[in-house]
Amino acid sequence: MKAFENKDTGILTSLDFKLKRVRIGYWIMFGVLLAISLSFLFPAVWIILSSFKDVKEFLSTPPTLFPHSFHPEKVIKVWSKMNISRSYLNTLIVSAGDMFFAIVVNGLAGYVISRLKPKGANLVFLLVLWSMMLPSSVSLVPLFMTFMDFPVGHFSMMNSYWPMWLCKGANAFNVLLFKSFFDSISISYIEAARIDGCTDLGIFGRIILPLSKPVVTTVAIFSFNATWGEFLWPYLVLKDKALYTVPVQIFRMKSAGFMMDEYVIVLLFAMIPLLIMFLLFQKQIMHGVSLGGIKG
Amino acid sequence: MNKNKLSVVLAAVMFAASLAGCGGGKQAETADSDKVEISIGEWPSENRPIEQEKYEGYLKTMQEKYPDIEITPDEWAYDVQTFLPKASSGQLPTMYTCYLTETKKIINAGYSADITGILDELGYSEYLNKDIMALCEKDGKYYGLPQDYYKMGLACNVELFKQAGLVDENGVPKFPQTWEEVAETAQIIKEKTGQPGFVLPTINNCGGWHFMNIAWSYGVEFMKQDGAKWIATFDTPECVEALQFVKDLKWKYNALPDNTLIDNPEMQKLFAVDQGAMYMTIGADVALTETYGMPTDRFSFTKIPAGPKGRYSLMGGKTRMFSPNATQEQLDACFKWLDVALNFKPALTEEEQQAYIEKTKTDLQTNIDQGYIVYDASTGIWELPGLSDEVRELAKGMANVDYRLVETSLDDSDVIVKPEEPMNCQDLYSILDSCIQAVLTDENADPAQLIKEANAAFQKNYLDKAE
Amino acid sequence: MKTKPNKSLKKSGLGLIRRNSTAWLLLLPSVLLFYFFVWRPIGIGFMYSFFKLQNYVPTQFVGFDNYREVVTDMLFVKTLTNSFKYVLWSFVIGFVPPILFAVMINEIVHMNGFIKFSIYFPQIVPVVAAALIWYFLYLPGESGVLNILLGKLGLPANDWLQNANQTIPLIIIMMTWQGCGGSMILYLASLQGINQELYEAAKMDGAGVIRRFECVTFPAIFPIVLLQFVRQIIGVFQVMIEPMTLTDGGPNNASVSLNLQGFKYAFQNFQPERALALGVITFIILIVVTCFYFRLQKKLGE
Repeated sequence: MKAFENKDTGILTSLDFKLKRVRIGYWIMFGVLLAISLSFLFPAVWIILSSFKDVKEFLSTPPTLFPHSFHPEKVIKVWSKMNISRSYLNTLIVSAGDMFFAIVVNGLAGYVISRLKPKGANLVFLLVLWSMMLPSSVSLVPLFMTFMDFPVGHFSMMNSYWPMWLCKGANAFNVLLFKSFFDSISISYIEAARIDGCTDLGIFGRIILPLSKPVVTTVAIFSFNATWGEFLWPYLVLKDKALYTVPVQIFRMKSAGFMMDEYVIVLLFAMIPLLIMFLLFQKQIMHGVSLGGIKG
Repeated sequence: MNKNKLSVVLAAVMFAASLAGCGGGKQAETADSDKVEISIGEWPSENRPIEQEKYEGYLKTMQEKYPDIEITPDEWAYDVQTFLPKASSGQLPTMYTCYLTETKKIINAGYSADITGILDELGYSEYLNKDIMALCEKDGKYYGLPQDYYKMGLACNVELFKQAGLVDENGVPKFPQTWEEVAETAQIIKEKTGQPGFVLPTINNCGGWHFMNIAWSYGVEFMKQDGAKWIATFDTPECVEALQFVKDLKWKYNALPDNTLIDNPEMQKLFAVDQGAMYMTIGADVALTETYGMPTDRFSFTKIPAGPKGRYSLMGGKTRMFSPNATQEQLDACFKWLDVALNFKPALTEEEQQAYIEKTKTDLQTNIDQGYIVYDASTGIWELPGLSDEVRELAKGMANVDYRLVETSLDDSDVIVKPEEPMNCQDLYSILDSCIQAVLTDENADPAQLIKEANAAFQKNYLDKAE
Repeated sequence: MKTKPNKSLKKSGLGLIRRNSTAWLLLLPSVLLFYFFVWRPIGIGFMYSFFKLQNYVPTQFVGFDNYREVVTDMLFVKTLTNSFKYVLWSFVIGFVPPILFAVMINEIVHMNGFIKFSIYFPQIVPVVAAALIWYFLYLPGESGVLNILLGKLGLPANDWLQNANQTIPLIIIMMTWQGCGGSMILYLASLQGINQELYEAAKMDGAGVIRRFECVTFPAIFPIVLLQFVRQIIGVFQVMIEPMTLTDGGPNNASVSLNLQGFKYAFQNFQPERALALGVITFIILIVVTCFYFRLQKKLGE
């Protein structure tokens, strides 16, 4: 086996594969992993396949696991009936704002803490780090109160996307991510730009941002993913159906009463944008997750 | 795509979207200050297209007659989980609807406007049914307007009864008359058809709500007032017996669905798709035919079964309430909507009565055209006996179902209609939900112990804290 | 924090102040947002837990009354033990698999991408959607997806979530399905950072596969194991949306967690002050766990 000969990482290396029992062990391990992957995929595959079943098949006894009937036209019907395009658009708007706050505000914070280090920035960083470790249980009601009646100016942010957006500007993890990335940028670029007369903001815009494509992409992708999954605050804050995001729409459907066949299709719609994102950016996502191991 | 370009495009999209969002997020403010803006809650949503169309029609009529009133449809319908956030942040629709049971709680919390003045002014007050209006009263003032009220009965799926051989020569189900008979009938249906004979919801407070009918008929009294204090009084053998009955439905008669944790929509669905033969309800739920596509001729309805102490039926319904922030003009506009669109007013003159009957007739006809089950009008809150009878006759004449299938539900001389319990009703339901879940999911659960704990919990967590 | 030597170039007084002020200006949005949406809410959460709230506005100082009401609520003991049960089960079911998966994936050379993809994929599914998918899987009776599978294998149908003894572990299985891909990638990254020479050295010493794992692999990923351990406690202890969507805390409150109960206090029962008191209790429990972690980390670091 060629594949084994080139294996020079991990516990087992090419040398070990010369032994028959190692090879057998390897294939058993591979089989186990394959079985696990298939079972991990199963729920999603079942949803995708079931979307094309007609309602009779959902109700039939004995029930079918995989569809016998095939009705792709139903998917389109549910799309317009549930006004999915509207929920998609809403969720896109929320994710755009979320990304803006996640990248610009957290990015600036990471930049200042990492590079400019004004007096007191260390204290801010420490507080930011601490807030990452603090449980959120106590802030549920206070946050709700803040959205309802903002302490400065006493206005309400209810029924708008502002609560979600603004909270993204206070994401400790992203600040940490940006900070550690900027820490690794060579200082000479910045000094050169400063000698050329660039302002701090100019340096951020012209030098730092272009260099930070990897970290920006990571934050953008994760922010996008988070928005499409975010449920609690949109659920509590958004009142108008016209503003609902996809997760809120799903949860609301459950209490309104729908036939299972339509429900399954809506679940599918909830997964599609994320699936596309995942297929496009799989590498960046995996890399981004591994950055999560940085300790505070 | 070039990565540089990508990031530029991304940034541009983000900015544009965030700006668009700013506009969308703000409250709409029209420059036109003469217009009165109101929002109407419980607007039919897209899963009820027929109803939605009807409301759009109302909207048009309204705009023609009162162009100065601007109406915003609001699909938000009362639910326990979202009411408080909305109410406390001043986001309730100008006119919204809640359950009759929640009315008192909402009035006490100050989330509904005083409408006594406008009721007097319009001359509605003297024609309102005082018994029901008592639920909307506080210190001699009215804070809500019940839209109608109902008593519960037993819906039976004709198809499943037929398959189980439980119909007479006319194809009319042999309606069970007592809870004992319900259990036996349900058992037969399960054995003959494989489908659950009875469906009882158990979550979102529905379990407790349905359980009331059973418990009362076993002679349970849930609470009593002792001076200023309320005492929970349902830790009794009767209540244990009632819960035992529910438990038996599952374990002795094996007549309930496999899935126990079901809510109201799920219950209706099971019934509509012939996967449940009986359930307690107020009549032909629209969702049966509209959302779940049940053929109208499979629906039959009878009065609530009797327990050892007789037939007890829960009186329920919905109340229209008005946002506490509503101005006088907005309240006026809401009542105009009630009058013009929904024809909700006491019909006094000959002319009005004629109009009322005409309107009822058209409404019934549209309902029939839309495939709803029509056999009788609901009980209104206006005290106009002559008119009510006339409307009843009209509905009977227009019924689109075999009258024998629903007839027995209309003769309710031996049914005692009871309003819901006076204190912390939804909280009581929630506690009872847990008891019902316990006996239906655990064969060894002890009803006596559960009831004892429920009684104590209700006293301690709610009644002791009530003002 | 390291100081860069170049910085001393610009240490003239005026320049420093000017640079400090522009820097602060850039940091300001962040600080404000953190203040209003992270730090301040925690502060007022603690403060208002000693008040009665009317319409989400504090009206009256009541001392420890809210705490007393929360602790004497007949559900309190149940929600507390449930939350611990969630954590316990999450360790029984969900802690080891990501480590195992990562170690195995690191060894295989076939279909690597596909296997990583399928294990990580559930992570990107929205929590609500994931919970509802599993709601269908866990449906009791013969129409439930898992029961159909059991039936095909000739096994009797299970009651799944309806059996109060199974509810929490089953919710944990769903959460493991969704969450273990993320931790797996973390472990994998740390595995790939292992210096291959260590393995070679171990091999020289005649270490077998298991010895190599013990001596090289495990010590290398141990910091991540510890980190994930604490993260899992903090995360699972605050579980809420999963039981909310799957069971609404049932059957008979078998799956109500502290946070779900807090949510109910806050937004369903008109008792937000109780939610605050309960939140503070949860907060304190978790802070103790976190401090313990830092102590342990320090000790191991020495």
